Amino acid sequence: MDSLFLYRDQGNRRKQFIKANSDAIASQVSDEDGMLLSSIVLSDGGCPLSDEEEASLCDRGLIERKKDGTLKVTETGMKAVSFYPLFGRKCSRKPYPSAFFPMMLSIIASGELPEHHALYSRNLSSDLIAGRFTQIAKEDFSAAAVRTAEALDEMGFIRHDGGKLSMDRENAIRFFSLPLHDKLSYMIHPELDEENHRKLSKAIALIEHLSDYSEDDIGNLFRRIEAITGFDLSDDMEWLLRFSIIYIQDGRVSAYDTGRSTASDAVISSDFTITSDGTLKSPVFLFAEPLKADVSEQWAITRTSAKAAFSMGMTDKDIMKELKRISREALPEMIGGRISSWYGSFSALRCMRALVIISDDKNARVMDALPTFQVHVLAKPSSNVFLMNPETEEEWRKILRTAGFDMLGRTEGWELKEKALPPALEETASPLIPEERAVPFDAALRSDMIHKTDSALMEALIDSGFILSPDTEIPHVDMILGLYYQEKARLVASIEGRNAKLYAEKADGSVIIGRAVKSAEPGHVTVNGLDIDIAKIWKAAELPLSVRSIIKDGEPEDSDSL
Amino acid sequence: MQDKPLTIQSDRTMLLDVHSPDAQACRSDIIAFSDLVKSPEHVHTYALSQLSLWNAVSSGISGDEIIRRLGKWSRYDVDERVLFFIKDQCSRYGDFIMTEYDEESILLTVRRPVFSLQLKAEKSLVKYLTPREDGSFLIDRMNRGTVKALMIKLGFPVDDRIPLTGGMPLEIRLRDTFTPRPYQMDALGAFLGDGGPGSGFGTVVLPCGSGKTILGILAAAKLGKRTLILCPNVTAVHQWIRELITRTYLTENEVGEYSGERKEIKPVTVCTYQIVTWRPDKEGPYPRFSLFKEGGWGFIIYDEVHMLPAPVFRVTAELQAIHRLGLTATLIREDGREDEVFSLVGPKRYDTPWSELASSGYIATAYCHEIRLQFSEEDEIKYALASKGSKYRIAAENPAKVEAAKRIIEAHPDDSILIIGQYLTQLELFRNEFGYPIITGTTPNRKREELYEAFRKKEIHVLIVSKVANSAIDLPDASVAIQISGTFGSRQEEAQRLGRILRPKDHDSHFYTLITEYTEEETFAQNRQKFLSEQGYSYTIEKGY
Repeated sequence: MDSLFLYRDQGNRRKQFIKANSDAIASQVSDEDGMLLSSIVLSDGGCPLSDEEEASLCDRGLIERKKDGTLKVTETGMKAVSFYPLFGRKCSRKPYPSAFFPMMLSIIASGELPEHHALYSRNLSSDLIAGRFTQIAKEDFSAAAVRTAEALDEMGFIRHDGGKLSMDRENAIRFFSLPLHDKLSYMIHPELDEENHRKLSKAIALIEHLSDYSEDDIGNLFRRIEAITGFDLSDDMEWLLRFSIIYIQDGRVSAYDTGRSTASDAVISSDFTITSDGTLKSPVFLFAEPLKADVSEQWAITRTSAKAAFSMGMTDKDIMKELKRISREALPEMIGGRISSWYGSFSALRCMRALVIISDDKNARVMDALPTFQVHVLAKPSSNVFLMNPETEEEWRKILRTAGFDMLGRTEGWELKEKALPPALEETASPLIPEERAVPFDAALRSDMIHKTDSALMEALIDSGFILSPDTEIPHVDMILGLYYQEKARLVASIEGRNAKLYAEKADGSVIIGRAVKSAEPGHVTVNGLDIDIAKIWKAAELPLSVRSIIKDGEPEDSDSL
Repeated sequence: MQDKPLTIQSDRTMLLDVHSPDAQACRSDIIAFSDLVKSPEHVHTYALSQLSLWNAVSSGISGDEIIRRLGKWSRYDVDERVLFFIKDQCSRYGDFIMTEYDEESILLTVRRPVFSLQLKAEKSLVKYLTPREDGSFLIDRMNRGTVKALMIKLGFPVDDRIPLTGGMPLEIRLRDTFTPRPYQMDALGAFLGDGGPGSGFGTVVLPCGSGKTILGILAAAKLGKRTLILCPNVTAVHQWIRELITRTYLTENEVGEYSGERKEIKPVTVCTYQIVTWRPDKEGPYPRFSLFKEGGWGFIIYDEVHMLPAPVFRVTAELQAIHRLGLTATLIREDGREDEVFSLVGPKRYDTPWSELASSGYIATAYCHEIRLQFSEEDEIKYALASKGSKYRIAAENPAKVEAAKRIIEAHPDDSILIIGQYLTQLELFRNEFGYPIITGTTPNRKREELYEAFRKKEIHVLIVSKVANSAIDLPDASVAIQISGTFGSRQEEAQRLGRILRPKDHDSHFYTLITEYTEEETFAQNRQKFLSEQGYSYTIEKGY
């Protein structure tokens, strides 16, 4: 077999060789290089590499730099891309308590939590609420629950209504619809701007792949994730634990398994419970209250939860429609009847916001005659008083203006201001790469080849992934014999400071390969931190930057000490 | 949900998907070590508890076997905390063993010296224990039940190896005029166990109308001991006596009534809780407790054990050498002392979903209707202005209920109908409107019997009853119940009232509950319906009537 072409100027022949030997090349990509390739993919080519790392991957045809300056992993390189070993090997992990956020939304949206921070913190930390989340330790649940309420409040998702917290339906659904890593990003750092939310969200999405990872190496992992996403998670470890994203067991760190937590349907019983074998892809939190979050998820439709739903603008028909959609079996007859009766009670007395228009009798008659205006009238308690829909104020003002009421002034009185809604995050796509490499690293072959060679250059090339099998030819390298001092010195000088490496072999057989740096001492060069007298170099050559740096001792000199 | 039928949760509850083809086999496997919590139509909930595991171990099922069965049926890996709980609790059984010592005392031995220290540190317990040098304790025979109950509360299960030997023998032969139903035989088997220590006492939960009396008689016949039966009222006493005479070859000379009317003590004696707990003054002793000790009883049946009065707990604690059977349809106690029933009378040995017996035809299929009525304008204002404390009663006594009941009665011309209510003034109003006979707490027992008998014979089409008929009254032909008011949110009462119409018959039963809409009665009604909803009963909600 030919050797991999060491020099990029070898053009098409090099490309053809790479194409023909793609699997063999991938099989000699070490796990360390595989992690680099994976990082490049996960960062969409934005992961920073050293010159040497880039050269090493590029010379083997594993990556290429695109015109826009970003890196792209080639087809061959993709064969060595995987989550393992970057995030540990995937094994059986604890299931993620996926009902946490829907159930928290239900609790907050119920309108039952007091708005004062100290009071709602106490409520959320109570056994009554914490006890429903049987998979989560109480102190972790309390911290995460309080943080959730705080963050949603800070982001403007929560309303303060008559001393109680509540959410409107639109906001609740918006938050519910976010992917888990986006939700967590908001919870951990609600203060971040959109760009940094994206980074954090992506970092959390990656953490979700963590499996059986050494606790001692977690610092390295966070550095890798920072290189990929641009966000340093190391200060947020506590939140990752509190929000049940990761757990530590016997010195190993894993992320909770979010994979098996979705359910398409539910069982709805005549005792008004909703039971699903995982988290429902349905906003049941709008009209049901949480009973238990465990392997399965249980909710109950109660008078209070129905009231919360009606308060958010849902009707009995909306709830029934959703229940029918998710119910695996026919709905028990009494469910519909009961919800309708609750809706009847709710509708019997309603409180809504309105704007009041008071006009004289003549104008009232004109307004009565405007059909487009009538659709915005909520009620008309007397002939010249109109209760108007405040949400469509702009529209009905325009209608009045068109009808000639151009003297209508601005609305008087106290103005209700609500917090502006936070911008919706677009879903941060979770990077899709395989759990395991398509072509595993053949470490045994590499080790065997290194063991069998006595050439330092060959060893370096094997270790660099250029030699793919025992019958590979050593690539041709122009060597300068040490006898030609001037030529040798010119070569060293030409390499110094360039993206190339010096191969220097001494008479005793010791070899050093590395970047050459000008030495302070004339006639010397520094390679891999060692000062070398150029005169003592027996053989010298220029190697590409992609060849691994080595220092290999020569044969021990004869000694007459005996 | 698919594949395996059981979802085991980390809080040790288990959800059984009853639509799974393996549901029945799974249920048979897990019922021996778990409690049925609720059984609505699709998913039944079971729970593992200390007591359920200890009972399983005492009946010979090891912790490893329990884990094997769970592994066999569980849809997912069983949470390690659940596995630990099972192993831990099962390993505790046998740490404390009760054995015979002498006529006065029994011996409590402990597996490790540290347990001895733990018991000594418990203030509630130490007064009953006489320590011995080897770390064991002597216990007064009278305190056997009390010590066991206290230790269970403290998390120390006692392996009671003293066989139940008390009582004089009595041959009770069954007549061949009836065939026990399969579930009655299953319940009997679960109650009697292998006859060794740890068996022959316990509680059986079966729906109203499913033949709990028959089960009691089967157990008495099997044990062949002099038997004391405790019931909630005199009518029930008479029913037991009637059944005993009908189902067995016992003669009237062998079956006695111990009530306010008669004080007979015979080989089989049936009495009321009220009569045994009577005492001349509030602070004094209970003179009739001597009945428990003087009859030579080898078997005591506690009918409607959920109504067991507190003083009877105490005397039951002293009767641990006697076979004991608690019978109930709804083991819900307002005082939360279900656990004491289990530790003194005995653990739950058998429980079956109501819906299963209904679908097999062993109890009647019942349709529940909630009829929502409006107030008149005048009553609406009266309700709105009333104090919080009186609102419920105003709603419950809504006069519109009379007209609604009238229409229901007209709709069921061939049924035997019970009108059940809470308030005497309301019941009187109904009597005045309809002219049907009424039974309340003040109706003499003889008169009650006559009316019940006339109702059974269909001489009376409609009977108005107060809460005296809530339970333990056997009216086989009643097929319609109209509940016009109740004790606030009592789930127990709702279930017991439905139970009056559950005797199997050739047509379906209907349970109507009349509610004034948009009032407190509506909220209480929803709470009342909770137990039955958990049993799979569904109420249709109808407006007006």
